[in-house]
Amino acid sequence: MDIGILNVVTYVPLLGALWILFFFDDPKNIRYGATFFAAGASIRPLPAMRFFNSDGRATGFRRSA
Amino acid sequence: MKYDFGIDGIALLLILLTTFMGLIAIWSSFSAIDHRQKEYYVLLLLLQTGMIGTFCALDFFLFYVFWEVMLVPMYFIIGIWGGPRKLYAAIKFFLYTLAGSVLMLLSILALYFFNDGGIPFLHIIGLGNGYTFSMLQYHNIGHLIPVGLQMWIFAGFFFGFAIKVPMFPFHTWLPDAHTEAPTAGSIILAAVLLKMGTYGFVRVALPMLPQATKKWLPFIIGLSIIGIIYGALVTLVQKDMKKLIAYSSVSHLGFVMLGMFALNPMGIKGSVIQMINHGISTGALFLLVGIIYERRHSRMIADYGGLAKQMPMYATIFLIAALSSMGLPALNGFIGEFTILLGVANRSIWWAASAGLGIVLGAAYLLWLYQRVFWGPLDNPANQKVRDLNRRELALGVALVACMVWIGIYPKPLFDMIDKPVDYIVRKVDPGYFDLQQMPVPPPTTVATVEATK
Repeated sequence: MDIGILNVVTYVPLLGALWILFFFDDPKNIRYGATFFAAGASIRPLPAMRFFNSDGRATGFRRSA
Repeated sequence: MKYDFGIDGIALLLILLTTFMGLIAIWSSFSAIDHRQKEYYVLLLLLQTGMIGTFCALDFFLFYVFWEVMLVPMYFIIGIWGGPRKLYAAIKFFLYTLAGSVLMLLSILALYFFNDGGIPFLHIIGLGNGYTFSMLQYHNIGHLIPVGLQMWIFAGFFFGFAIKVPMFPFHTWLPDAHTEAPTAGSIILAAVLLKMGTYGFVRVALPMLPQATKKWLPFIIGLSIIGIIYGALVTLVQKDMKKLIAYSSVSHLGFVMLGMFALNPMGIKGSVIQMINHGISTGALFLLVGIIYERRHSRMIADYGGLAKQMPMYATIFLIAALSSMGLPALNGFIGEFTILLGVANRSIWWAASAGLGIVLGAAYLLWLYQRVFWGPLDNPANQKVRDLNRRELALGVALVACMVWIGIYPKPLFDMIDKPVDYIVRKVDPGYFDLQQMPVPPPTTVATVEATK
């Protein structure tokens, strides 16, 4: 697994927070924007699940360089 | 700048829990938060960044930074959007956690200096490996740290993590924080923030400080058992629904700690699975209490009764969440509790018996809560016009119930993810464990042989 996935998982909510802070004012946009970024953060780590199964590949930590 | 970021199966499970419950928390706030919405959602997303970062960090510096990053948004979420005693609760939460964090920082620094030059004023000679914050480096040198130093380092980590769990007697911030926090704050607090403490024990204390772990074990087991029983007994007498669920967390997290300190694969696996289960079940219960609070502006059990007639969908989802929390088979709570009991009974049948008492008390307080709120006559006029769940609330409830049923029926993918990481931890904390398991077992003596010997 490319460690980029992990970085993105952390950055997506951070990006969402900054985006809402600087670009959204309408309460509806703020609510849906927050949901969008939270949903993005929830979907992003799902592919990583296949690296941690019992087929022998899950030998330890997947790390950044 | 070099930083160490990475996950194993345990961290991935907790990240999935964080992102899922984060989404639930944000979605549940749509109707609950009507002022300063921008600041609120920004803080919730920042909180999520801190939580995911803590689980991803393989570097003590990052771990500590993200750990502290979590504190600030939660402080504001409780302090701005909380209940009548929000400032008291927010400050108490902040001070307790910060006190633990500072002690944790001292332990991190002790490890940092021991890895290279040593700690001169304590006359401790270092290993000369260079200065690093890499957690994996400390996993490798854990057994080289003198036992006396390990004990002190463990003490620092213990206070940091035990306050966060929270273990008895460090739990007093929790009911206040939960009761005063807005619904989303309570969901995140119960589902994820408490798991930071248990995750810290699994990631840091056990693999890095094996000898100290064994020496601290009786003390931690004692506190866990007291927490399970005391937490359940205090839960029984609560009159406020949110406070009741908050105290139940003290009992459930005592269970998680007990499983973890069984120091065998079954106990630790059960402990990790129960972290996820508690996040889902207790998160769901806080969400449901928040939904009824939005309609009636009361969390007092005495104000309700007979709600099942007026709110059948709400009553059904609440029932499933309560059954899951008490560990009914075919729901997620059972898988975690059963696995923990297997691991714990392997160490001591008395520990398992104490935990069993906690399960019985758990069933008592949750069923009694359900009986008082949902059954009986619908005699309070204010409850006779309460509307059932809307589509958004139903979708939230169904998503959580689906997770409870999925884990309850087919937990294999979760166990697959944590199999190897848990074995890794057991090898670090108890290197001889697997050798002992693989020792040849003497062939069973048959009746014929016994008679022949006679």
